[in-house]
Amino acid sequence: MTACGIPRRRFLAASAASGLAGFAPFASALAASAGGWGEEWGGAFATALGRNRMLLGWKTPPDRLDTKSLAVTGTWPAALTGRFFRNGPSIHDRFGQRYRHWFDGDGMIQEFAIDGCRIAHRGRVVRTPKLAREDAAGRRLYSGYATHLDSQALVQGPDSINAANISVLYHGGELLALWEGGSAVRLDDATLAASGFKAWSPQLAGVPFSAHPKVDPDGTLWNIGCALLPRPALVLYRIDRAGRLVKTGLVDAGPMGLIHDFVVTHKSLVILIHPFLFDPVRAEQASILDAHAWKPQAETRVLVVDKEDFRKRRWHALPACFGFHYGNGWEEADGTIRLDHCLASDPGILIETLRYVMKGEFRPSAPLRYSRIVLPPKGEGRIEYQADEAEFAKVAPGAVGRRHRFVYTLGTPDSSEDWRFRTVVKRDLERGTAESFDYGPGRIPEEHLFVPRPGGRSEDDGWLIGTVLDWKKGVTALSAFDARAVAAGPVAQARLPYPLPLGFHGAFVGD
Amino acid sequence: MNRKSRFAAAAAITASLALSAPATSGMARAAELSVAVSGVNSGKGRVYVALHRAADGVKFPDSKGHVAGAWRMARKGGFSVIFTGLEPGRYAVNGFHDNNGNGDLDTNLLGIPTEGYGFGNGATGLFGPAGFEPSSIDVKEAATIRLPIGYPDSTGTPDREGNR
Repeated sequence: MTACGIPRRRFLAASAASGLAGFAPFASALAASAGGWGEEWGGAFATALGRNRMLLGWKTPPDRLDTKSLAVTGTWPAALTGRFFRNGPSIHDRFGQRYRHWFDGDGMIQEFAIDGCRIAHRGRVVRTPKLAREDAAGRRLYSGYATHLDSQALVQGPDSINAANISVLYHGGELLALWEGGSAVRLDDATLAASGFKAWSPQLAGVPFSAHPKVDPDGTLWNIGCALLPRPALVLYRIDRAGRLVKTGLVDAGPMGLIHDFVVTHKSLVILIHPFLFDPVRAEQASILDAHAWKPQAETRVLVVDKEDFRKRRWHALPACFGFHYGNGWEEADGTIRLDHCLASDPGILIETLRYVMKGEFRPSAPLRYSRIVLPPKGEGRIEYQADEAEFAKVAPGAVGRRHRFVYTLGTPDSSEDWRFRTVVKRDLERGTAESFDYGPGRIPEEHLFVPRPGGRSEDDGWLIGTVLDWKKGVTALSAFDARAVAAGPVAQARLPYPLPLGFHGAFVGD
Repeated sequence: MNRKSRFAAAAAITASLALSAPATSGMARAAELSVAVSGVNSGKGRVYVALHRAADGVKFPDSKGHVAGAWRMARKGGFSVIFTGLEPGRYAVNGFHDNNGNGDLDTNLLGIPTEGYGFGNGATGLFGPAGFEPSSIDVKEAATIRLPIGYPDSTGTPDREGNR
């Protein structure tokens, strides 16, 4: 280091690796006027919504929603009390500008507070620094995940554009809204107001923390963080049940794209890298999504990392495939790993369907199907079998990382002209059977979580809880199923007087 | 690099600096450059400013292109630093706000700064530091360049010391 005026050894070390990394392009200067929004989709969406009420699921709600007591039909299970949180892209339109992908909208926390005889609802937009700056400016200032602005405001790091719109985590007594390109956002437990970014350590400030952390039955939390810029890198987290960071790892995994979810077994973290690969050079001119390219000739690479020693790693290959979510995985004595994955033959759903729905167009794409993947101790993995269309796979919390018998997903009936998902499915992996409940035409279910009955031991001794949009009636309802009788339909439903935008993931926090 | 050696490096550097630092070149010194620092968000710590020249095979802002530097106690808002006795030519500037006073620009695990920083003319890089050209200015006799400091959003209070 020279005797010069700026002690910047690490600054330079970072820049040597083309550092000062950011999740999004550090685009043109402190833009006096961020512009380049391009074609406006709001009008096309409004026109389409007038013709097809199913699009209500992608309409922007008010920033705040409150219902003191929901109308309940059926008998709400007395022991199913607590708070059910959900998150998802919600503020699709603002300032007369409509985002051009489902994944771009600012997050909104939906809370159902279930207190024995009464269920109350609150919806609160997550006021991230990004959204606060945009509100102050009266216009969108930043490119989203898939909506590209030619000129955007200064992006100092990934949290400059953090939309906090994917999931909710309650861990170590702390309530967090999760994104996947940057930090988790702290939420005030009482008011649900955003109160700053979560840094698990000083070194982890602003480092991506993905939206699908996995919690072992002993309370240990594992997560990945997927950084795409300046070079793709994977961050690994181990956090104890009290919410304290135990250790982190950094993996140079080679070329990769955005990784949404992963799997834990009792011994390992299992991370699939589908060949939908991010190109930093393309990102100079395009959105994060459009800087990805599908490489069907390439393989899906699988990284298996030892939980006890992040340096112990093995790699496998699978045929090219694409998917967002996993149900669960387990590892046998010889090291064979099996996992379930909602898997499609290509990323058309992400590139086409979930983009153009924002314009009111339904474009078809390859289905996501329930699939079982097997990874031998060494060598190539394979897809063991595939079944029906499935997404948002969930298992009992006590089964995480262990061989599971039941997996709960959304599915679709044989012939449906509705949105892709209309059924709730319970798949019995031991018997090779499945039972399902069809919500029927005009309804779109969202992720349904399994909540164990207090003291319950088996993987279906509990309830499924989840929301369903009834777009014909223009309302959202909260359902509770007896997980032992899914086909019988909800044992109770609590109905809101308004629709909620379709979202992604949630968490149940029992009393 | 460990914490201690970074402190030592910072001490050596700061000891060699004056508020307006002369360049060390032995060539004709006729020009001066005023750097207008703005956007400093508090009076905590120090603000460091560095002056660079383009050099063959050097990727800005490498220390090999570094010709002078200065620091000031942080003051909310801004202030100017004047580099005098400069050889006429093209100069780039960058700087950062060492809020915690550890003598370094803190970065996270991925190398992303966690303290405020900026480049001349408010330039930004596509995926990292801004380039030399957009961060620079021609200095003949006297010139002024803007150096706005911007802050990352990730200011969450750490729960515990890093444990990698």
